[in-house]
Amino acid sequence: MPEDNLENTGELENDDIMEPEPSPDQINLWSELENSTNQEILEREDLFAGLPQDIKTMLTSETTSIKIISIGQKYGLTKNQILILARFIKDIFLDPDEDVEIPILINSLSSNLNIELEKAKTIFLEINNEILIPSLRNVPDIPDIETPLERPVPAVSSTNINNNIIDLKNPPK
Amino acid sequence: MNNISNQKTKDLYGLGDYNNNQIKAFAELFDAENISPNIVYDRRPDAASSPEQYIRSMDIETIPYIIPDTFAGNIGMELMQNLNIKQLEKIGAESDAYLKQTIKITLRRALQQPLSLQIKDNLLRIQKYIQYSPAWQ
Repeated sequence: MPEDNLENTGELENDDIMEPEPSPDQINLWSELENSTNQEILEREDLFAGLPQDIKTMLTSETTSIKIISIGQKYGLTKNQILILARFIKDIFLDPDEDVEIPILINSLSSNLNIELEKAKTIFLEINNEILIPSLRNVPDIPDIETPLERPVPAVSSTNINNNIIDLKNPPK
Repeated sequence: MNNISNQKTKDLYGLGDYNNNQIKAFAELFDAENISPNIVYDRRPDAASSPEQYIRSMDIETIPYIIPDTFAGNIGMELMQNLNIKQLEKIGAESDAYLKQTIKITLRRALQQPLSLQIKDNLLRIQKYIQYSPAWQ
């Protein structure tokens, strides 16, 4: 509709349009958000958003947090090391590589936590047994076509560990 | 305010750009037309008549629609105190990076305030969950 017609009918006038006026608290919040939210955070969040629902549920549940704390304490990790462990578990699933080799993951864990390789392997196996397998064993055989799995499910089974490979294309059923 | 880059925004009508009183006025327009204003309050519960009660009663399917501006200022800290773990699990799974960052910022601010033992316990539980949850890293 031409602008002059709008004026004539009085249906839409400038006075009717509410101009955005964010409060000083909102402006402060967004200033802090822009300072604390970098590109890496946004990219990791995009990758996370594309994960299958059961993996997101596992990574999000309070039970998983509690198990991570419990495993960390059991192996004498510091608070900072346990935080790194939590991030490491997320990174397993954000890795763009389709096949993730178990020894590489264990090496990475050992390096990130600054612990011996054997201890990293023990912790990794416990994460696998206590967190990954119980959460991801009900992976459907055929992905829902409406919500295709943008990332294959990298559930880690004992069999796969023996083969030293997590087959991300053919997760264990 | 809505300056979300590549994250999917759930900011219906750009509700993040308006202050609390403007959102209340906007919601009243829905009311006047006999349309439930909850579509507005679900995104900005800070504008509801009883914000704390409203956010407590939000179901987990709706909770990811909250806009970060909800948690601005003192009212944001009060709303933070009324979130529960189930709601935060859903935010962790479904919300964009900005809302998650907002929750972390607001939680940190809330924990610096004088709090009752019960509220502090709830916030410390939330803090522990968020700190060690892979999804929130």
